[in-house]
Amino acid sequence: MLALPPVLSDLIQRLSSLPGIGPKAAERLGLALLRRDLHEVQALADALLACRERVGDCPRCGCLSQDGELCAVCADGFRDGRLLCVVETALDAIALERGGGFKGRYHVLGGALSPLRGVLPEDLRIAQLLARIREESTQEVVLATNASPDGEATALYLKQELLALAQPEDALQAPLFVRITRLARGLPSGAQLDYADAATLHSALEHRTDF
Amino acid sequence: MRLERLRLKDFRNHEQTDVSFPPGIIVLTGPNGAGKSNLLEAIHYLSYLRSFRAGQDREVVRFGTPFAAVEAKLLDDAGRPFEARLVLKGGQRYVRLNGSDVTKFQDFIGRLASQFFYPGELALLTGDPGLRREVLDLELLRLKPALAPVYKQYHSALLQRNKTLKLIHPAPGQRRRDSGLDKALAAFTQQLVSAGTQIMRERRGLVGVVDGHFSPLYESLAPPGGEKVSLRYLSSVELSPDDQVAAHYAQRLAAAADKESTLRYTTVGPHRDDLGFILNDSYDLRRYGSQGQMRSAVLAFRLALCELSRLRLSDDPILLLDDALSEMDDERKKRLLKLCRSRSQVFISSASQREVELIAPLASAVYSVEQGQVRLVKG
Repeated sequence: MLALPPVLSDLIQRLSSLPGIGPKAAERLGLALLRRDLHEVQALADALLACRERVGDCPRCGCLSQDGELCAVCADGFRDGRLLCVVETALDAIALERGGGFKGRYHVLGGALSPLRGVLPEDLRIAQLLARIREESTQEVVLATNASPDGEATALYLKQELLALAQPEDALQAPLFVRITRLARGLPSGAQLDYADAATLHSALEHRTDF
Repeated sequence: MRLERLRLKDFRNHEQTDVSFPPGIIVLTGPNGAGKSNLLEAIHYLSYLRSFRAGQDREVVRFGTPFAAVEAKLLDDAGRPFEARLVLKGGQRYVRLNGSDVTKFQDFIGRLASQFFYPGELALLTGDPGLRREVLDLELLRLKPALAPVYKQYHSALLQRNKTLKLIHPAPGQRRRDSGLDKALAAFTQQLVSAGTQIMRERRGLVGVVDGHFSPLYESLAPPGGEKVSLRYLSSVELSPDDQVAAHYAQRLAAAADKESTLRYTTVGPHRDDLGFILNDSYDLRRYGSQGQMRSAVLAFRLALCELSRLRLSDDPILLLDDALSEMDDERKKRLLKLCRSRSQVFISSASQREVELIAPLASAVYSVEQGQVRLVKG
């Protein structure tokens, strides 16, 4: 077998450690990079480094942001600050943004409650969430954790915390009453009824709305 | 449901078997160890993806061969044909339905509906309550597939709750003060109660319906004596009135907090419930019943499940009776056969020539099985 130059095989190995990239794809990528102009490869390397160094969590909501500044949603003055949508990961917020139509802000928990996998309440950004609700005088919290068992348990946990805001232990704190909502569950739009699975149909019927 | 054709390859002592079956009662006859039960076991395997005998998948593969295969052409009660195939190889199961690979076995189990009875089946009555819960849950999920996520929710909540209990109580009786963990426990408890309540109510409803079919079946199959046996869902939670079940469940969990601080797992809920066989409305059949009564009860239970499936799903399961008649008197044998005549397809195995003669007039076909060879004798 033809041995690759060590530097190239090192690159290929590193590329193949990325999600969704197998050894074959890594080889193709590595060889393609070799054929690019030096300045293009330099630009790619710079972009990788810049991303790694400058992109982080938004200090307020936990979504992705640059240089430790507020993310685009938090910085957007036209957003409805009274509406807060709680999601498990930044990816979930991006998905909701793509859907459009949501005018409030987000809060990323950084996962879902799962003692079995070692994720305890203190590992999630819950204290930050409660602090935000106080500071931003939030009126409605949309619990948009996944419909999975863990996501459901996380929503139940948050509900307790949110209800507890109405009866603060600290006598100096004013009681807060927030509306708690949960994403609806049912048919995907454009879906045909006979293709939906039984559980989805059941849930769609249960959560039907006035028309 | 009807099995039209069955092909076996290296399944126990069946090296190559290819046999077609008519509807109605089918008799398998032959000496002990000839392969009658193995044939029924193959059908059961394809239905439940496991044996009714104890043991490992690899024991099924004929000694010295690489894999075993079971292939079936079936006809559901609406007359739609379908094909199922199972390959057992190196301790792995590979399933195909109508030519496509099946990856989620749960979706497949119950597609080929069957009910079975064999002498060792008394374990259903005398063995672990988990066996009885499993039978109920399997039936419930066939009737109401929408319950699958509820079971998933319950199972997850139970495991998470048990883990949380172990974190709150690092050792029996010890307690860590952590308001986060306390709230997590409360969240999992809520999840447990909401899913668990649904499961308990559904199971109780199912047991009620099955009991309606069971009691008359038991009466016609049981040894003379006039005892009455009925089914009851035995729950650790009070299940009436209907709208109070969740509240009762939550109360029972709250009351068990002390016990849970020592045991560090969840002691109340559907995962601890049981299906009771009750003699004369008050005694546990398992403790006070005779062998004959218990056999009749299990057989009547299986027949009741067939009836339920026929009525609710328009799908009469294939009934597999492995040496089921041997301990019955002639009168009850006749009654059982009469019940079998109204079913879509029933396989009866017997090593007794006298028994075969009794069944043959009612049977649509008789096969002899010898050393893994199946031969049509009559039909």
